[in-house]
Amino acid sequence: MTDLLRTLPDFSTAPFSHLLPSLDRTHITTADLLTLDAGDVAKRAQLPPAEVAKLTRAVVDALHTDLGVGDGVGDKENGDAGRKGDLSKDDGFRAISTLDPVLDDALGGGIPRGFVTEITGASIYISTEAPLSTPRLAQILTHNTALRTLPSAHCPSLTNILAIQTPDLESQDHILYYQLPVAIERHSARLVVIDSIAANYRAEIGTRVAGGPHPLALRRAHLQRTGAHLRSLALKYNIAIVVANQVADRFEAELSPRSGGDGITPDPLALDHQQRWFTGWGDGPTRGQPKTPSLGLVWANQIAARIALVREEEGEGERRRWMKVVWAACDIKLRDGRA
Amino acid sequence: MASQTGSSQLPSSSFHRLPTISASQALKQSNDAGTRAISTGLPQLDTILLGPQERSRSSQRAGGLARGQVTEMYGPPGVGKTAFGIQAAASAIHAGHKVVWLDAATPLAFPRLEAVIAAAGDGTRSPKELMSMVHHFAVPTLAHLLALVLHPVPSFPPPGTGLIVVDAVSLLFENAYENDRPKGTKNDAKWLSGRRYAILGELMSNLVRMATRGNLAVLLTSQTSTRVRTGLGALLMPSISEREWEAGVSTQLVLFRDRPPRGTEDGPDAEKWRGLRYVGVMKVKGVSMAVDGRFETVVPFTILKTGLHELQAPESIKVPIISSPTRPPKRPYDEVPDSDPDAHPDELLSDDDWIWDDAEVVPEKLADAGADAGTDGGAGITTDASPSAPDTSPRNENAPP
Repeated sequence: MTDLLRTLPDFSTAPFSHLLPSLDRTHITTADLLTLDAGDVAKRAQLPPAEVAKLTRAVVDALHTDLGVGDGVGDKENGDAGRKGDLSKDDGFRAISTLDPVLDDALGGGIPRGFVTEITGASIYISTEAPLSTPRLAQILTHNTALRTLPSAHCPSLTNILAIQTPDLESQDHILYYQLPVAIERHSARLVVIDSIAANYRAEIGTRVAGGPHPLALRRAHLQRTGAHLRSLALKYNIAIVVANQVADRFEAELSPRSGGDGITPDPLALDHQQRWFTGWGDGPTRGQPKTPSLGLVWANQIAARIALVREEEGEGERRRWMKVVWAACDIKLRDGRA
Repeated sequence: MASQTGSSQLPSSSFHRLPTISASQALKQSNDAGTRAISTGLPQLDTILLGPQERSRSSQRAGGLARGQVTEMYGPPGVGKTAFGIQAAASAIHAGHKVVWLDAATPLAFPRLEAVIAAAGDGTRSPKELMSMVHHFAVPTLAHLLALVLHPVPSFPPPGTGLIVVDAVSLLFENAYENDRPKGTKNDAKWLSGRRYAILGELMSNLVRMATRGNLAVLLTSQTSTRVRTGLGALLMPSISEREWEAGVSTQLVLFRDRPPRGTEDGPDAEKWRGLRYVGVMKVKGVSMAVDGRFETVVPFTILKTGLHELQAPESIKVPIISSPTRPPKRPYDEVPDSDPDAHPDELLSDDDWIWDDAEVVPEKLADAGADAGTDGGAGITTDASPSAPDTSPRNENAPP
């Protein structure tokens, strides 16, 4: 049951170490343990049923405790679960300011802690896939109008920023699953920025191995697992996780100003139609090519909020750039947070 | 209560087993004020959710999410599934019921919930008191949800609960059955595929049981995956579409966005119309809302800080076909080509990158709605197939600052 420790990281497996290899070999998951009769599991894994029942009982108890409904815990009146880092009202809702009041307002206070927020678009402050641009960061620290007003003792400095490079998927996995939690705890980090999430997927999951799973299925599974892991990190340590994502051009008919007659656009549940709203581009008359963030719907389902950096050509070589809150778990504004 | 040791591997139809009461008792129960449905905050939708029988009786009863039943709602990211759940929670609280909120993915933002509850109230009760009626649990893995629902404790659900919301239940099944690990033999792959199906059924039947026993409404939100259609663009489908799952869902709703209808762009409510969403009603109390293969019932609304806000269309909104989320005929596992022993048959279809090497896998499964959409002369916006797939050839749009 390789998923047991992912489900219950603190579960003590020692009393059951004689059972786990067999369960693993026969592909019994934690969910199976909770839904199958102990006898059936025992038969498949060739284990004594009484032992399996004991393990099941221990797992159920551990899960109940984790949820906050265990016997020893009791049901809390205002319903906050006993998990670490839960958004309890005592802590107050915490967000990290973007240093832009309009954007902060649109996000409900700032980049929220406990959530995974994506920033996507054609250009971002920090260039993608290069090492963290320290000169640029220093520039922002010196010149940003909001930061300048802080007394020097409170001013942020570069010493509190830790940068780690992830050249490929394997090292990315290793860093995200092993090094990052340690670093977060050791340095009491409040914010993790991943730049960019799509970079490592291009090269690696491309070719099809005969007899193996389809590469797109592989990628989807990897994305889902990564998304789940980032969410759990954000929740456990109550940190904000910001993920930068790239965009690519999208070619589609422009959504002309309601020439669609009366009523609803035909075939409204087509991906091409709905993505006008959840990608951040294409939901209104815009000048310039609509874009689509990489990694598709599978990744979009993983994040709690999406901020799009939109760039429009105004004509005469004029360019307008603005930030748009495409959606946010923490707040919905009627209007885009134009900065 | 579900037995401690769970039940057999076969999907059970045990959600039909209810505590027996007499017919007159049942009738009285259903007429009781205490069984009033949970309002969605959208009056038009509430009426629709009464179901065809109630509506024809022109009863005075208020409609909404039916208690004793499971309602599922699906939609693309950012459309407002959580907002919908929050509104229902506010309604339940003001009707005097407790609410259980289960987070499967993104944690519930309490300030949002507070704001909507406050807006829906009349100020007589304190925010603290109202918020105390919400019991929130994080269920980060499928195992957590199963432990709560299949191995219940007496304190769950708390007495007086009128609504249980499970936000993003589909995410839980994503990670429980990964398909990028070596699966060993073909039998093992078959076993895993069978387990997912069985657990879906088991979970659903227990949710239905919990709804019935506790006389509460269960609201599940689900994300979307894509299904390829020959000749048309990909279609958004609910991420969980197995028969055992859908059979337990009495009411199914879809949320989607659209451009404002003609005549609303310049009116006083233009701002609101720009945030337009529709609730499409697919199924109510077990009865499909399809009429000749078309779904005709939608309710327009938008999302404000104060909650959901129904929009009144200037003229009656004509609904084109919302393609039915029907399943293609399920192929026996053996028929899946050997080159893909690890791919779950349905999952190949639901990847949003629809450029395939295995052209032969795809066409046979495209039954359903593709045909429907064709008859009414248009799939709306179609795009060219190949060039627009962003992930295969992304142009890196970075300009250094």
